[in-house]
Formats: sequence, C-alpha cells, structure tokens
Amino acid sequence: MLNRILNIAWKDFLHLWHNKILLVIVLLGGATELTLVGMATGAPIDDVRTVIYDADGSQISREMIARFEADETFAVTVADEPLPDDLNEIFTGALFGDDYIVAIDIPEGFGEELRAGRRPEVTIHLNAISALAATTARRKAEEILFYYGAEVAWPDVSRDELEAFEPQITVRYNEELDRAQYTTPSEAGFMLYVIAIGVAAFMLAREREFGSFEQLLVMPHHPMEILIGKAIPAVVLGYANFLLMLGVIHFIFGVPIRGSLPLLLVLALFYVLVELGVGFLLALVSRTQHQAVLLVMLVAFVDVAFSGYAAPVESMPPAMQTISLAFPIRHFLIILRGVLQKGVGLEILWPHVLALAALGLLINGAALLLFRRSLASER
Amino acid sequence: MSMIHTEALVRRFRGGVIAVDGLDLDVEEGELFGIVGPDGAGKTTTLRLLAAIMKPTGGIATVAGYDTVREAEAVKREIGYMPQQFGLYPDLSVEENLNFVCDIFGLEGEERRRRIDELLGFAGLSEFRKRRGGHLSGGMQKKLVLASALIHKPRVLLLDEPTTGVDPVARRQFWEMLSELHSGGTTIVVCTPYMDEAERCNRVGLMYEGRMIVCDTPAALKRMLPGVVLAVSVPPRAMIDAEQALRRLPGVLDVQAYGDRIHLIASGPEIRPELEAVLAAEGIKLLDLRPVPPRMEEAFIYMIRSRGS
Amino acid sequence: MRTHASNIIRHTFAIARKEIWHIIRDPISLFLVGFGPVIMLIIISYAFAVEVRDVPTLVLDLDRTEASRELIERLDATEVLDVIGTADDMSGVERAMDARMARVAVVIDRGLEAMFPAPSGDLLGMVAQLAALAQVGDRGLPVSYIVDGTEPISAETAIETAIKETNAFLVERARALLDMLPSSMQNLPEVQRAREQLETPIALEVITHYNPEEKTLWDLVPAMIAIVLTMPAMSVATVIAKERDQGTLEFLVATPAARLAILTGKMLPYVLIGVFNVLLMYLAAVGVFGLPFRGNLLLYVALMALYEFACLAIGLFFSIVIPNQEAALWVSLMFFLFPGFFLSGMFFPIVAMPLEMRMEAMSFPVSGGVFISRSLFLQGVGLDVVWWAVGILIYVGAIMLALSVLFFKKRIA
Ligand SMILES: Nc1ncnc2c1ncn2[C@@H]1O[C@H](COP(=O)(O)OP(=O)(O)O)[C@@H](O)[C@H]1O
Ligand SMILES: [Mg+2]
Repeated sequence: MLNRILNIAWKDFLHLWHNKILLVIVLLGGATELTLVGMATGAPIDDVRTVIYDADGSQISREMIARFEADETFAVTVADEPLPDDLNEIFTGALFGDDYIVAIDIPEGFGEELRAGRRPEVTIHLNAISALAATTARRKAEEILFYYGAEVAWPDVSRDELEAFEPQITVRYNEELDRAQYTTPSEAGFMLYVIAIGVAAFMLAREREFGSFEQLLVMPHHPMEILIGKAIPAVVLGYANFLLMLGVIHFIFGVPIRGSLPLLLVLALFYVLVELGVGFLLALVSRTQHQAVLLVMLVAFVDVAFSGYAAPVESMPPAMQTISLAFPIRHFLIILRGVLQKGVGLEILWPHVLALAALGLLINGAALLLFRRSLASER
Repeated sequence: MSMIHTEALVRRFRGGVIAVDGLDLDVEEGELFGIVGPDGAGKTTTLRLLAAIMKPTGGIATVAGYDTVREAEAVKREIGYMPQQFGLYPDLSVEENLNFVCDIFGLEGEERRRRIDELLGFAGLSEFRKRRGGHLSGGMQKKLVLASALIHKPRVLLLDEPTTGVDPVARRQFWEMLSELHSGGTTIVVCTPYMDEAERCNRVGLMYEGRMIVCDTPAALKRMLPGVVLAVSVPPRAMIDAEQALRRLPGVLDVQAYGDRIHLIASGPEIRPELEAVLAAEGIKLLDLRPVPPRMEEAFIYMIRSRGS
Repeated sequence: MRTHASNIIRHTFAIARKEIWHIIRDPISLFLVGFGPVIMLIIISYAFAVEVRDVPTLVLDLDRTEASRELIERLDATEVLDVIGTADDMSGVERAMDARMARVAVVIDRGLEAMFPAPSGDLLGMVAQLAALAQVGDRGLPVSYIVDGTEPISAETAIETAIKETNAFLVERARALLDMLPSSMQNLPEVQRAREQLETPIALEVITHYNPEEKTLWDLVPAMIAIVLTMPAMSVATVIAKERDQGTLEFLVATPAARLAILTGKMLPYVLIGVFNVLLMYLAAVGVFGLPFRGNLLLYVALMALYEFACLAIGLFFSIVIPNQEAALWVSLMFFLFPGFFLSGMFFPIVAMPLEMRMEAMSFPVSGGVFISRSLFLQGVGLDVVWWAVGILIYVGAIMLALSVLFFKKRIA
C-alpha cells in the first residue's frame, strides 16, 4: 500500500522536476512574495507632501513651519500665495504642480495671538485619497501643533510636565508597531495555504483536463491511496515554503520566535493537512485548470477576508465573526502570532488547535466523500 | 515546377535527434503521395516542415512555389494541414469549429453556408452539426479535421496519420474522400503506418530514421523485392517452432507470420526441398506451400530489415 | 497593404469569436470571470473595510472610585473600544492578552479620584490644585494602557482613542470643578489660566477632503476594483498554454491567421468582460457601499478598459513564454494577485510617495489602476491629473503586447 502511494506521489514529483519553472515558482514563490510584502509594508509613511501658507510671517509661525520641516513625516513646501478656495487645485496638482496630501493655512496674527494665549486657529486640509496617509499625517500634525503651541503659550510648563499629563501606553508583542511584523506572519500563513491548495488543485485538474485521471482510476488503487499519494507533493511543497518563509520572517524582518519552535513546526504541518482538503475539493469540482485557478483565487480572497489577515476580526459584524471561526486560516494565524510574538504555548492555544482538528476532519472527510462519488461516476 | 520540392532538408532537435536527415523530395501537382514508415521515422516532422510550422535546421523546402521559411504565411494560405492529434476544439460543436475556420479564411454568408453544408455532407457529419468535437468518435474527429482543412479549397493537403485509431469502415470512407479530392486535382501528401493504404497512393516513400530509403510507385516498389514470397501452412501448434526453424534456413531473407500461414521471402523457388527437410527434421507437418504475390508490407519490412543488418 | 490590415482585423474577430464560444461553453468559468470580481469586491470590502471598532478592552481598576468608573464608561462608550470585562490583577491581564481575549487593557492605579480636589472648603487652594493637575508633574497620571501591537493599524487607532478619551475625561472633570466656583472668582487670573490650560494652545480645524470621515472603505473599494480586475488576466494566462497543451495550437499556427490577430483576438473578449465587471463593480460601489463617484463614468470605464488591456497583455506574455498552463497560472497568480493586496492602500499608501518612486511603483500596472480608480472615484479628476499613470499603462500594455507578438512563433517548438 505504501508502495502504491509513493508511486503516485513520485509521478507528481517527476512532473515537477521536468517542469523547472513550475518547480522554482512553487518552491520559492512564498518566500519571494513574503519578502516583497514585508518590504512594501514595512516602510514608514514619511515625506507626505505638505504645502503651508503662512499669512502671518512672524518669527513664531516660521518656527512652527520649521518644526514641520524637521519632522520626517512631512515634506514641506511653503506657498507664496494664499491657498485657493477650491482645494482641489492643490490636491490635484493644478496649482502648485504637485498633488499635495496636506495643506496648512496659518492665519494672520497667529504668532501674536498664540503668545497671548488666545488660541489662534490653524486650518489643516487633508487630501484623503488615501485614508491611511491622511490619518497618519493628521495625527502627526496634531502632535506638532500641540507641543509647539504649548511651548509658546505656556512657557512655564515644560514638555516633560505636559507628557506626564498623558496616560502611559505600553505596547506589547510588537513594541514598535512595525507593520511588517504584522503583514509578514499573515502572508506566511496565507502563502502556506495557497501553495498547498494550489499544488493539489492544479495537479488534479491537469490530470482531469488531459484524461490521465482516467488512467489513475483503472489502476487497482483504493481511493484513499490516490488521495494520500496526491497529497504528498502538496504537503511537501507547502511545508518547504513555510520553512523558508519562517526564515525570512525571523531573519529579515526581525519577527521574534518567543514560543516553542518545535510546537510551531508541528502545528504548521497539521495546518497544511487541514487545508489540503480544500485543495482537493476545488480540484474535484473543476474540470479544467482554468476553472481551478479561478476557484483558488475566489477561495483565497474569501479566506483572506475572514482570516484576520488584514483587519482585526473583532471589528467585523458579529455574524461575520462567527462565520470566520469556520476558516482554518483564522485559527492558524492566531497560533502563528501567538507562538512567534507572544511566546504562548498549547496551554493558551489549545482551543484553536481543537478547532483546526475539527475543521480538518470535516473538510477532508467531505473531500474523500466527493472523491469517492466522482470515482463512482467516472468508472 | 513540382508542387512540393525539398532539397537536403534537415531537422535536428535539441538533444541531437535528427528527425529528418537530408530529404530530397518532389511531389507533382495532383499527385497522391504516401509517406510510410515506423514510429519515430520522422514523418510528422517532415509534414510540419512542409506545413511551414517548423523551421528546418538545413536545406530548403518549397510548397506551391513558396519557400516554407521566408514565405511561411503564403504557404499556409495554400495548404490544408491535418495534425496527427485531434487539432480542433473539443468544447466547440462541429458547426462552430467549421465556422471558426470560415472566419479565419473570410468565408461569409451564403458562400459559407454552402461550403459548410457541402463539407459536412462530404464528411458524413451532417447529423452531428451540434455535437461537441470532444464527444465525436475518433473517426468522426478525423473527418471533422479534414473538413476544416478543406474549407478554403487548398491546393495542397498535408495529412498526418489521418486514419490511425479509426475503425476499418471509417477508414475506407476516409480513403474514399481522399480519392474524390485526388480526382478533383488536389495534391495530397499523406503519412500512414498502414501499408494497405500506401497501395492506394500514386507514389510512396518509405521513411526510416529520417531518410527516405525508397520512393516509387507501389508496383515498382513491390518489384524491388528480390526472389519470391512463399506461403507456408503448418499446424497451428507448430507455428512458432516452424517460424524459428525457417529463419535459420540459408537463402531465406525474411519470415513473417500471418495468422495460420508463414510468409517467407526467399531468394528463389528452388529452396523448396531444403525447406521440407528442415521442417521434417523438427517433426513439423507441412500442410501447404505455394508462391504468393508480394505485398507492400513485405517489400517495406524487407527493405528496412536489409538496411538494418 | 490594405488587404493585409483587413486580414488582421478579420482574423482578430475570428479568434475573438471562438474565444467567446470557449467561455460560454464553460459555465463555471463564465460565472467566475463574469461575476467573480464583483463577488470578491463585496466580500473583501465588507471584511476589510470595517473601521476599527469594538477592540476588546479589559479593565483593571485598582482605584474603584467614581472617577475610575466614569473613565471606564467613557472608554466603553467609544466606537473603537469595547470593555469586555474586568481583571483582578496583572496576571489576569497578561492571560487575557496572551489568549487574545483582550487587545487593550486599561490599568487605573489608586489615586485617580484623589487627583481631583474635593468641591468644598478652601476654594483658592482648589484652584491651585487644579492648576497643578494640568501639570501632574513627577507623580504622573495613574492611568496606563497596555496595547497588543500584533495588529499595528488597529493598535494605533486604539491608542489614539485611549489618549483622547483620557484627556477629555480629565478636562471635563476639571472644567466641572471650575464651573462650581462662585462667579465672583471666575475672573481671577488663576482661574482664567487654569481654564486656558484645559484647552489646546492652538485651535485646530481639520477639514478632510474626498473622504471626510477617513473611512477605509472609501479608500479600499476603488482600489479593490482595480485589483480584482486582474482576474481576467489569469484567464488569458491560460489561453495560449492551453492550446499548446491540448494540441490545437498546431492546427491554428498552420492557418494564415496573423500573430497579432491571434493575440489581440484572444484578449478582446476578456477586455469586454473587464468592462462588464467594471460596470457591475461601479454599481456595487455606489449602490452597496454608498461611495460617491465624482468623476466621468465614461472616462472611468475607458481607462479601466485600458488598464485591463495592460494586465491582459502581461498575462498573455506569461502564457506565451511559459511552456505550459500550470506554470503560467502560478506565475500570473504570484505576479498579480498577491502583490495586489498590498497596493490596496491598507498597508502602504503609494500616493504618499514622491513622484519618481510612484512612477516606479506604477510600472506594476495594478498600482496605476488603483491610482486611476481612486482618483476618479474620490477626487473626480480627469485626464489632466491622471495622464501620467495612463501613459505608463499604455506603455506597459504596448511593450508587453509587442513582446508577446515577438515571442509568439507561429511554429511548433
Ligand atoms: N519537438 C521535438 N523535440 C525533440 N525530438 C523530437 C521532437 N519531435 C520529434 N522528435 C523526435 O524526432 C524523431 C521523429 O519523430 P516524428 O517526426 O514524430 O516521427 P513519426 O511521425 O514518423 O512517428 C523521433 O525520434 C522523435 O522522438
Ligand atoms: Mg507521427
């Protein structure tokens, strides 16, 4: 039996070996993708294009502009004419040649009034074509204006004293709020899954498309043997990807491994086995590779949506939160982040391991059932 | 000027296989030319070179006066090509497949309808208009591809094993179609592994390991066989022993078993006494022995064997 | 020459028609390419574009006073934070955060209530104390927050909310105390100063244009429209490889159909499908998600069709240079889909980068599509603003099509 299983698996490995491009993509695709993602998302948002019009022109307003210039978040241009009524002209580049994200208007008499403690008003226009850039710029601008304003208006209050007025914030697990530390584990969990289901789905779909599946059916194999034989390449490739990606996450993007590495390795393998069933299900409902790839895309998108991959699940509507529990990737991402960043073990993660086990039984059971049925109908 | 002309045509593949090795060939207008040869002889490669869908690594080929490299697209306008595998779309119906080819060749309206009806009738596919290509039987698929290749009334037809995997009845129908085209003046080059089909051609070339070993009319080819062909009948159980015994006989060029008879190519009829003696020595009873006219198959197998040794 | 051109056009339509038959013949694929993008748009937008809200928050209240309860209620009343329970000690907080039951913990130490003077007795002393409250000095505020940083974007929003609410809480309480002073005292310079310091020194008016509530949804939907439009490119990536795999390419290349015609003919139906998708997704964006559409719809559809063409040209190129379907599919999947997510602007806003870097990023056409889609949706601008991205798309599309024609040999390998 083992022999026959390995025989089936061997054929697929040969197929990969003869198809070097494919081999390279499915082996290195995950790590490459992950590196790109980490680099793209890890960069800080800085040099936000900012135009400031200073109607005051006082020492104080000039100093305030200097504060903005000194801050990395902003790349400041000082306008030599007043901001137009229609801010579109600034945000589209029609007026000052660049499409600015921030426009700040400092009114006449600003310095005088600030010194006198009369709360002069500064207007900030945000171009929210990108909400993230606008929010980041707004937060930074508020901070600069507050501390600089206090410095001028309340000369007897020191910065330390002002800061003591604020609650103390401790960030755990990802102390620097580094976005790459968030996106790279997400991507690893996701790619591990996509590679595994993709390899399983495309390989089976290819055989169906070219009729070599029929050959498989006339061989004296038990359906289980065929399924396991077909599973081996997908598991091996998915897992190889995971190991590579883990290396990239840890060594290139500095995500710590605070918990038990062996535990993580075991659970990752377990997770691939669970998701494999999804690959088989997709392959069994598609007749051609074209269908298979479209289905893989659709399923990948849905999974991403429910996984907590990009947005915290807690913020979703309650119904969606409940549905999300049915997606294995949701549980795996919690396990992955838990072991990597929080350093927790089974004592805390066990509910998610149990959930994975239950989903795995369900999905793989369904795949086996469907497989048997399609065998019966094709035989 | 011949319709198809090649000179020292060579095709070498990466890895060193020389599929076509210095082919010189001339096919006249209106000829029905057969290329026969075992698997891997280079038949498909030859046709692909003629169809201008593969570049030769040496030599030249012209089809209908156009160079297959420099004027590949002009060649393609003149030919109808039928690849060895089903070359049409399995998900499209018979009619859609033909419509597609009409689209390509710009056949419109009434003319298109007439041509499609005519070809469907010709191929006996009129009842299967709506059936998908992939659901046709092997023979019908072949006829469909032939019909598609004929849409634009090509002057040259290049057919690669058009009857392989087709039942005998459909094969006969197919050849009737070819005869009709042939009498209509179309130049046809057909590759086939079947020797009986080769007999239907005006001229036949035998390809082996990339070379055309001989090339002549079927009758002339059969005359090339030296000596005589003798049909030997022995009891069925003794067939294998008899075959081996006869092979060892001096003066025997080739031995082939056909059902209950053994065909023997011998240098002359005077071999008879020795033959009887050998069989008697093996304890095999000779039921019948008589000379028969040579067949194409025997001629070719003999030529290939004598070349191999 | 003229007949040559008309041949190419005829061949293009012949191939396009055949391709449409293929698509219609395969209902699963037809459904997936026809409606897959809009389905994905809706799912993704629903799931991703939820604004950060109801972040589970745990309370460790050691002060147990009216003030601490008031602060907790205040936090719970926000959209962003959701108080889910209380812990008895720090180890309870640790456990809840480790298990991801809570993503924020607010710890209120003893002394919060005590910071505020009792509203009785020594009134001037009270003012002095209030003034000192604004400068709690070395004692520090007895309120601290512990935030789970594993999801930095929502963590940042939670932190901003925590700080704002805490400040507002302090300011409101202090102001209430000042209001209790008799009117005779309201004009005292100490009182004035105390009031002054309860406000920020500069009054700030923030006007957010295009997306006044800074909603991720508005940002995301136009971007996703461009991203999911890569799906037809996935289909095109299979077309040549599929003909090669199934052996029909041999018949096709032996016909006089022109190379350019074969390639554009294969793209054409998918451009049409792309346009259909754009219209559907436009309806979903406006109808389901309530986005404004401020640009010119006709221009939008035209530019998105151009964008689709650029993506298809890349998919086609993969299909030609990669020897079989399976590998071509993987390459295009890796190339389009996954990087696409990160251009959605949720993680990194390309628009905020300097122009040269933006141009570089946009040689990846999905970035260009995202930029154009957002600009037309939210800003309502026209070609005068997005022309350079359009230029890059045309350039990329033309180069890829030219390379495809160059590499597509009407020959068998
Ligand atoms: N594309 C190719 N690449 C490498 N070798 C090939 C290719 N096509 C054919 N061959 C080799 O060339 C030889 C002739 O093949 P072919 O022309 O298909 O023969 P036939 O059609 O007579 O069976 C065979 O040895 C075959 O393996
Ligand atoms: Mg052949």
